[in-house]
Amino acid sequence: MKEANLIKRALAGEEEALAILLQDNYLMTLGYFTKVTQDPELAKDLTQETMVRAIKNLRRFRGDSKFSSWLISIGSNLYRDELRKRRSVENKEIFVSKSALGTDQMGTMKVDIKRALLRLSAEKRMTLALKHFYDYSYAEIAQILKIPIGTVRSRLHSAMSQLREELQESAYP
Amino acid sequence: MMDKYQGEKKKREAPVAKVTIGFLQEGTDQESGQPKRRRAQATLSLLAESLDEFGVEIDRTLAKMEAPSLSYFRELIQKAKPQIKRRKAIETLSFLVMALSYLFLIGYSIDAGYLLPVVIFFSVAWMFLPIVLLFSGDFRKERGSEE
Repeated sequence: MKEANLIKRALAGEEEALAILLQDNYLMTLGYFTKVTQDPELAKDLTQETMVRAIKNLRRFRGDSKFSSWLISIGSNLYRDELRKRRSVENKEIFVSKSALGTDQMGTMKVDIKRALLRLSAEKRMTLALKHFYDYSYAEIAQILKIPIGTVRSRLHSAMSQLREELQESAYP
Repeated sequence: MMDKYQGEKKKREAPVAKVTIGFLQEGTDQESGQPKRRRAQATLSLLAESLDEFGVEIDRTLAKMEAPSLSYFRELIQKAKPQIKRRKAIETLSFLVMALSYLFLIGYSIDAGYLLPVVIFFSVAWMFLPIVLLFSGDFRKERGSEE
């Protein structure tokens, strides 16, 4: 069934249409959170909470973007809130010392990229994920994360710069 | 489901290379003798590759998973319903209170002899409303996406 039709029906109050929409977008949302958090359990929790928030705020969906983009937007806000709550734990987990990174062969690159990604701030990670994995435009990312386009550009540039530096260190110690 | 997700990905035109083009304009690393430019390019392609691999790895894991059944989502909707009703009622009530307070304030001001200030207030609002609308968030967003 076409998404536009489902959205129309869901906005008209048809629960079945909303359930189908949520089901259709579940794995995509879960994938986004898994890429951003690298924590499957947290990703599942965030996805479920995103779905609940989407149900509660469906009236606010204006239909000027894809339903999946709207879900990601809700989810990103949720993740920000979640990070604020668990900031202390996050600090311990994410800001691992630089020496903890692999330092030699290209074989460690895969592990390094995961760690390097986790070293980025959540805002940069979300921006990078939306651009690299979903290929959203700057304007779309700005709309999803509710930030100016200039900020998207600078975050992306900064994230890539940071990743490049860390990986360069790993590849060319 | 994964096909749908893949379809959502628009054409990939090496976004990594796009955002990091500035890194390539570097000089020569005197210590190692290896041109920095080549090193940066190698790191860049490695970075893009690693990110792609990471993405593919997660997509592969997700491909093995199934979204919960429709009944799960129906249940979520049912659970959220009372909260939605409560929120709707609060919003409606708040709107009514605000509207009535506003009307009462205007009426009270006119009754107390402040007709001129009320007229000036509405005149100013009437004059500046187009300007406010012009610089509203939506308008700026539209302009931004055109850039």
